[in-house]
Amino acid sequence: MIIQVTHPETKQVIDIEVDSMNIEELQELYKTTAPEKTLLSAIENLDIPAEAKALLLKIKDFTIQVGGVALKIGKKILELIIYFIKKYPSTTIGLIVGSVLGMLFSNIPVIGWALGWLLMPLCTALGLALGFWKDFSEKEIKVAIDGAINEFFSSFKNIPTPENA
Amino acid sequence: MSINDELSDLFENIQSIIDDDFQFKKKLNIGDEHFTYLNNAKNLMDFGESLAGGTAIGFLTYSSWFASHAVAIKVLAFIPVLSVSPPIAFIVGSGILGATGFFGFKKAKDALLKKSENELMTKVPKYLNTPLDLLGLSLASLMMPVSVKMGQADGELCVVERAQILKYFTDEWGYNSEFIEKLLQAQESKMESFSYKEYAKTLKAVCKKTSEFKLSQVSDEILNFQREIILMDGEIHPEEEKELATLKLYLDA
Repeated sequence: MIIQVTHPETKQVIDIEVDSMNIEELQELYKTTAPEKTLLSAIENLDIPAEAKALLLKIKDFTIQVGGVALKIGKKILELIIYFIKKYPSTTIGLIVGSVLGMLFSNIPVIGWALGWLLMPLCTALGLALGFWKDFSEKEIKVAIDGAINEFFSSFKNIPTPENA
Repeated sequence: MSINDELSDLFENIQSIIDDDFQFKKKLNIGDEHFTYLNNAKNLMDFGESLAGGTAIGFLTYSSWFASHAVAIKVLAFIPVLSVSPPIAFIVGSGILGATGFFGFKKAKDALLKKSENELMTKVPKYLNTPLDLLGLSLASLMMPVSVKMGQADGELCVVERAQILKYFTDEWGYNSEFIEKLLQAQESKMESFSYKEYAKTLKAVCKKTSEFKLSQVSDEILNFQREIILMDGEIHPEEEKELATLKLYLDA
């Protein structure tokens, strides 16, 4: 089975051959729960700098094609960010945004390859040091984010990016 | 319950008080210089004075409106500042109005001049620093009480005036009509606590707090808006003229 990923910034397309995957299960997992207008509204209502909002919304349209089926990975990432912000309202929004993305990109290489370029400018816009999530002291949040990454992205965890990528 | 189920529940219930965010941002008319203004507005958040009869109504309406959608806490989580300190809404509103050029930031004036140099184009920022609903609530909290007060000056807020106020907020600013209707209803029933004196006092305090505010321009904008309100039914009643004069007196004092 072929997984195809298009880098949103450089438009480079990579094809990766993998063992068979259950497409129906993946489609169910990545079904969008938020209408686009609602998702945009939720991002607009975050108390973070406008530059960070603009960078976050670059994630929205990112998809991964598995066996010819497009999985809306980007929308699911944004939904999860909003979910954690809602779940931990007393934690600084920037810390949650940075932690979700930082942990996701470092744990799932293929998503890190496609979206990792956003991390540096995003951390700058949020006033965070790159890599801060490694020393993030809020253990409960860290565990929860880690759990969500495993639940949603474990299918892609062991997929390496090709050497020429 | 899986995370996907929780997500469905969360997003099904999210409502925004701004239906047309592009219209709202366009109406703010802050072009590409908004970052500075909104940062200034945010710096005012420690200002503790609230607008008499205004902010509290706006906040309560906001809470109850969202409560009617069973999501008050969930949505307020996106606006942590607002959920802690209601009076902030007005202060931010002032900042935003300043940013629009209404209230006379020097840079806003420059922006307007720049705009007049190029009438062919209006710049609308894609994203703002401050949560959009917080801006919307702040603006409505500032404009609604004085509008209702002026509309009631001839005895009651007539159907035409009422409809025009609703139309103004929904069509011109892109507000959710249901939210504005609720805010107007709540405001109408609480006008006995409104005082032009307190209103003017708060505005002056805000202007004093920030050197960039110019009270004369603030006053002019408010008075112009109120003139529009009292002309909505086609005529200016003596009582309305008197109310306008009272407001002007306090603002000029």
